[in-house]
Amino acid sequence: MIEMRIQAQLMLMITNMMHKKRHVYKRIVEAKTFIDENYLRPIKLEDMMRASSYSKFHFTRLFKQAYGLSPHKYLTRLRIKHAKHELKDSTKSIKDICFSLGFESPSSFSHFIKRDTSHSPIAYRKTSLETQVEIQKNPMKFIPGCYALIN
Amino acid sequence: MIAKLTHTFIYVLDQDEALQFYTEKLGFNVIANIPLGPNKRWLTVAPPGDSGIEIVLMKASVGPFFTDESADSINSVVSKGQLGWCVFSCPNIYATYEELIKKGVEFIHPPTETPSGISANFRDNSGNWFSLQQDGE
Repeated sequence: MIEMRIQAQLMLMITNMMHKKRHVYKRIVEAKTFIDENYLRPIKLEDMMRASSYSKFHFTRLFKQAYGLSPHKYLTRLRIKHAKHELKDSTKSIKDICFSLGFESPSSFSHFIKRDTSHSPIAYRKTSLETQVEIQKNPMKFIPGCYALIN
Repeated sequence: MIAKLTHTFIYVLDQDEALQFYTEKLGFNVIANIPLGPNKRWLTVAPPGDSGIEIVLMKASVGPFFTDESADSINSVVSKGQLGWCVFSCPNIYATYEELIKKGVEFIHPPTETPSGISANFRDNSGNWFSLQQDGE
């Protein structure tokens, strides 16, 4: 009887803890969704914070706990991902891509692209285009051995 | 000596729908999307954390691997939700759970304490199920 009561208490504690955690992270997810939907606009930490309704300190700490990187680094990561798509798939100038995504200067943009891809933006664009042409010409080269042979 | 695992396969019912699910809901990156003929392509994705392993989203269809009957069997088992493939990890399972629920991903089990750590189970839009485990558990 006592064991059953202890078990019930434990279950209640776990359920309460789960609800509390869900509530905390629901607000962090709101902020992440805000970043995901607005990263092409010049958003600031304050805007992200507002979406979570936490103070700057708590927001930054909880965001890092949730996603393993700071809100600012997450925003930069999204912008870099978008920049890579633009470099690959658009004819926009590198300067235009850099400033439209809110990077301070072409040199800082170049630094981020190089850190992510090991290439400068120009070299990344060139290599990507060459790869796309090569895929068109010889798709099987990009598919592992046996699958390429079978197809 | 085998050095590393580079690709793993997940059978999906529709490659276009799977691509949408894995990129838009799970936030994976497309690594390769190469047409191989009508209704067939080499499609691989990977989580943004970049483990170096590509997940091939493949449709079981009649060809060198499968007879018509085998392809149907695989598709049937997938759609019944009987196949579980991988364990994914995330920095915080509660945040990931909230985010995926918000995006409409179906969870079979919410985050639960298990002897090996906190884990949850979800399905993709073909029916495949996966484990989600918190990093460092």
